[in-house]
Amino acid sequence: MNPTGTKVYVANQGSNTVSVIDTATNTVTSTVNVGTNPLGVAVNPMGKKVYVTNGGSNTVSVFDTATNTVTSTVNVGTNPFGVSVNPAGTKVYVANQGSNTVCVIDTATNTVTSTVNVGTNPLGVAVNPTGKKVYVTNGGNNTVSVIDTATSIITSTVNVGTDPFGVSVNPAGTKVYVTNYGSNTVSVIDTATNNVTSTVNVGTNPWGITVNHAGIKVYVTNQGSTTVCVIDTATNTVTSTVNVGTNPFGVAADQAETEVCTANQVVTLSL
Amino acid sequence: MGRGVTMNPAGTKVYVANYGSNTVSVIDTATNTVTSTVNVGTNPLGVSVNPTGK
Repeated sequence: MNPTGTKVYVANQGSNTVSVIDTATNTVTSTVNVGTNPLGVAVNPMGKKVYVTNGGSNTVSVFDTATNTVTSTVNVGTNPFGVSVNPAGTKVYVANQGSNTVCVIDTATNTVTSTVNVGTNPLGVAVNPTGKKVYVTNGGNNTVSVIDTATSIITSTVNVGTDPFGVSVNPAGTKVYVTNYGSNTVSVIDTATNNVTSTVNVGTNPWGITVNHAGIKVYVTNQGSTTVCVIDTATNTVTSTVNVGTNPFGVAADQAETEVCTANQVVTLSL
Repeated sequence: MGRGVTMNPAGTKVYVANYGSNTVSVIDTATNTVTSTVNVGTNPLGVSVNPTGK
């Protein structure tokens, strides 16, 4: 028996590559050359395509997971950062930090079909599980823009903490979690009202965030503390803190094993 | 190996890109401990898991 594990994709900003980790062995099995300063990475729900924002090239690299080669390069806005794929795999949303916009890429043609003006310094982006709403953190004005994907119109702007960065939606689509880099907190947005209903104290300079697939835990990287906080979503308190490497940024939860264990819903990662 | 075979019955894994260490930490969520550290490229930032388990 020679099992192949889940693949994990890591954007290496300083190498202009993406490392592909096989989780069965926890080794890098492939390295994909992409554009300059790759920052965000997202796998489509079918597991076939990976989208990488190249902050220095103003492009998105698209590569095929079967071959680990770049099949398309899409011109987007200035300094693209966060990237998220909708549940149907038909649209990719890219936050362009330098343009104050979100680009919508049609994955059938790999072209930008729409550009939405958002707040200042958009960084993180997350599509909800129905694909109908997109949440964008605007680092420059301490807000989250809520985009209606049917109309590409901003339907709500939510005030959060200072320097919001990462954003993740729970599998039910009812809560949005936002790291506030400058406030050392996580804002919890109720999507029914688009109000912040809870603010959770975490470590220093929280950056990456992901909700697990049961929706009961939220993982937050604290760049300044060299830790990951685990938030219990029932109580909105930190129940565990894990020491990791230096300057932790992105964080992602394994989806397949959770599906095996709990048969919970799959949700896409925001950064 | 598909998603139907549980290679890790202990629980979910969480992957963390350590920008300053050029590594990825693998956290076992059952114990909230780092069970593996993977060397990657320079200044890893974004990270994403294949949702199909492949």
